[in-house]
Amino acid sequence: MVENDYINCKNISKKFGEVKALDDINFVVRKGEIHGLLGENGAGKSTLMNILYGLYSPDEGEIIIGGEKTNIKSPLDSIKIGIGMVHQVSTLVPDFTAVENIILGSEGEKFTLPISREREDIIKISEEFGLQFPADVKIKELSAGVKQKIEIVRALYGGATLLILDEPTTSLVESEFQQLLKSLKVFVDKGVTVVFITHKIKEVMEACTAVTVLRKGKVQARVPKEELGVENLVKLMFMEQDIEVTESALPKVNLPEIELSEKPVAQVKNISIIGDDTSPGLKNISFDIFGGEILGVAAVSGNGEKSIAECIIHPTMLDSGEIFIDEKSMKNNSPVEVFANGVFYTPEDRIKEGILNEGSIKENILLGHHQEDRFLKKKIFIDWKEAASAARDVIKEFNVATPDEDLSIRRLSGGNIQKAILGRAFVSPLKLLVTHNPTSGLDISTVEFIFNKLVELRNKGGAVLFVNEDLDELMIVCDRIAVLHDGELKGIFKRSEFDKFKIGLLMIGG
Amino acid sequence: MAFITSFISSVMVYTTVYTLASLGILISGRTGVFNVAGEGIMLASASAGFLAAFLSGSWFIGFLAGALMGAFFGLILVFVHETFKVNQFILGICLVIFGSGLSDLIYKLVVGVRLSAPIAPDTPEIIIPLLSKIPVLAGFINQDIIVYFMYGAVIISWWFFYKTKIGLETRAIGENPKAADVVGINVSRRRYLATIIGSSIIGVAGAYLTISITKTYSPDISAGRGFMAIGIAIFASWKPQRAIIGGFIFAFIEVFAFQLQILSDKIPYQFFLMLPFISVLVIMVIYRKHIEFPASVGKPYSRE
Ligand SMILES: Nc1ncnc2c1ncn2[C@@H]1O[C@H](COP(=O)(O)OP(=O)(O)O)[C@@H](O)[C@H]1O
Ligand SMILES: [Mg+2]
Repeated sequence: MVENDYINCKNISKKFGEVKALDDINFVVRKGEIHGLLGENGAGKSTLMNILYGLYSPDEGEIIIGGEKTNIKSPLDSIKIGIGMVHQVSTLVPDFTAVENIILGSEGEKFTLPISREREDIIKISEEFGLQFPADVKIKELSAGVKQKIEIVRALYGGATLLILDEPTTSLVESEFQQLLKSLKVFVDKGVTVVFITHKIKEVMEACTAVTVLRKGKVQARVPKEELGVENLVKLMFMEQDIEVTESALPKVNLPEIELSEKPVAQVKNISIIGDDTSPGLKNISFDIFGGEILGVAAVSGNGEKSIAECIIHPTMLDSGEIFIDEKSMKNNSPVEVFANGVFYTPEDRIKEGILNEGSIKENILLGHHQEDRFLKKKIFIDWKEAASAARDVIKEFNVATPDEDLSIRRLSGGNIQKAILGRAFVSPLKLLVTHNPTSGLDISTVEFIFNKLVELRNKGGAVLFVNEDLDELMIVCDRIAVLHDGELKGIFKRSEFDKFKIGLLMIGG
Repeated sequence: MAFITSFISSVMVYTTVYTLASLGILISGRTGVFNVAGEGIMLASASAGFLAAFLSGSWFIGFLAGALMGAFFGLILVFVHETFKVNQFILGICLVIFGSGLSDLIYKLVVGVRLSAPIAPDTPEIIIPLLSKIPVLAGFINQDIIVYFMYGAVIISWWFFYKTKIGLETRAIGENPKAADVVGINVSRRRYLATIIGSSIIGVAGAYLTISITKTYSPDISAGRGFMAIGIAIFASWKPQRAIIGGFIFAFIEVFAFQLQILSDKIPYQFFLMLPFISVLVIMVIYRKHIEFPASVGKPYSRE
């Protein structure tokens, strides 16, 4: 053992049913590090940290902290020895204020409320660490960035000297990320050691002083600061897979020249949707999509991009205008009727809008195709054998990591859920795929996989409408990019005209 | 005046039944355990409480037995739910059937068939000097000790949930058990405590029916009030201070319907028996927008 080892997880293994989430892990954190825990989705990062935090119990292995063997059985134990964790999904009570949330579980002196002493202490800590937030506003009224500050302060208030941040950047915008970086430095100055979980190489490069790379439940390497480099990390994360990356650590794809279809697959003609407080609606938008192209829609979130994606499969949303698929008007058609014309959709929020949480993979893959003749016996009974075989095809074609098609879909990781719902689109012959933010929160290898599936469809003469928040990604895979701002179409650019600065400016209304 | 005072007095008696039962339901609901077994608990406790009071000659032992019977049901509910993650509603309905069978069974085993029904000992009344002479107000306070117990239970549980830190933590479990778990609160232990305490309070409500109101046991004595109490807990948005208001409204309707039944001979009496249930529906429809639920109520929680 090296003398300044602070946390030492030794030979940790953990299985969930048949899934081996962690396999003989050795993980060391030194005092004063900002230690990156890097790995693709499903690598086991959260599981490892949940074990350290006492939420999960390991099947094997031991945890040594400050040279002493510990027996952490619950979060109560880990909090006592100075571990604090900000979880991947918010663990605040939405109906309580920040102060109420932070005092939960803490060992206050007083039994009764109000807790003005505690409140002062909390505010003092938040100022000391530069993490100010409104103390008496209900959590549900706050943004993701503020909530995260509150969770960090909660951990610090509990006396954390080791702070685990599980994918803290998922819902942050760039400026909030920069702010978080600054806070990390403050933590270290004040003697707090940090474990920073992420699947983004760019982030560990910017934030971390040492990195442990996890892959498929195994530790690949512990990389000291001097050896941190994009290529090195990509290799460690993905080993046998050969991924070419661009400078921004995004996968490269190959877009061969192909002929466009003679007639457009879809024509969008003068469509409008009246706006409300949640969306600007759409203002008289027209464009065509041809077979053999990927048309990107670039927009800052909340500028009508969701309406564009949705109205194609749900034309009755339109207040005026018309959409044609293969020159056939879709007016008054329901989504299932639109689907029957060779269109399919993967929604923005894969969990909330994309799947039925309680359903199996098979049932979820059938969804949307359930009225097709292929899946019906005697026109009314579902043919489950056929559904199972379609689901197995999707699992195979789209590399969905699952033991079988009957597993509850919510058991899958985000990347695998996305692959499953993308695969669902391909169950029946597909002419137009509308896909909204399919890669958000996914690691590069999955992003690359999804890009290649879109390009494959394009190369076969299919059309893709790719609505995406990340302009870098759009510039990699699109043949054309349409820019949307405040519900208006600001222009459509061909690949040869792609200019990040120009498009970026139009996206913010410049 | 005298009529109003005595009317309120009867209303308060039933308010006590409804409020205690819904208080018991909302206490465990605040930790996420939706106890729909109230009807069964009330029936079993009505029987057990009555028998204990009758045999011992002590009202207190009667209520103690009722509370213990309730605690026993609560223990079954929470144990089976926490251990096997069985659906709370199915479990609750099973316990209703169990309680309803058990109540008659133990009564028949202990008392058998008699010509004159056994009568429970009196429950002591608390008469506050002077105040008890004031009309209308007297209806609220000239009451037996269990009515005061109900007042106390409402105040204490309101204070507990909104003025103490463990009350705040208890509410946190009902909103988001994971949030409570990650800060070191033992979710399962709190669920056990809340369900057992809540169920014993429902047990007191059941025992009150036989020991104090009718003073004798008859089958199906709670007559659906355990189910109505669920409606009241929901109507009250799981808040003790509103449960007593809800309890009062339903007790008022029940007593009012009973009076009408005596006064009117044209309308079939079944109509009046139906009134409280119809009112629940109507009130729920009117209030539906104002009803809040603890977000995790009815859902099992496990870490992995
Ligand atoms: N509660 C759970 N039940 C079953 N499987 C799980 C559970 N949590 C994680 N897994 C599985 O364990 C593996 C590692 O998951 P996780 O630790 O969440 O990965 P990461 O955080 O690196 O994305 C994945 O295959 C995931 O599906
Ligand atoms: Mg994770």
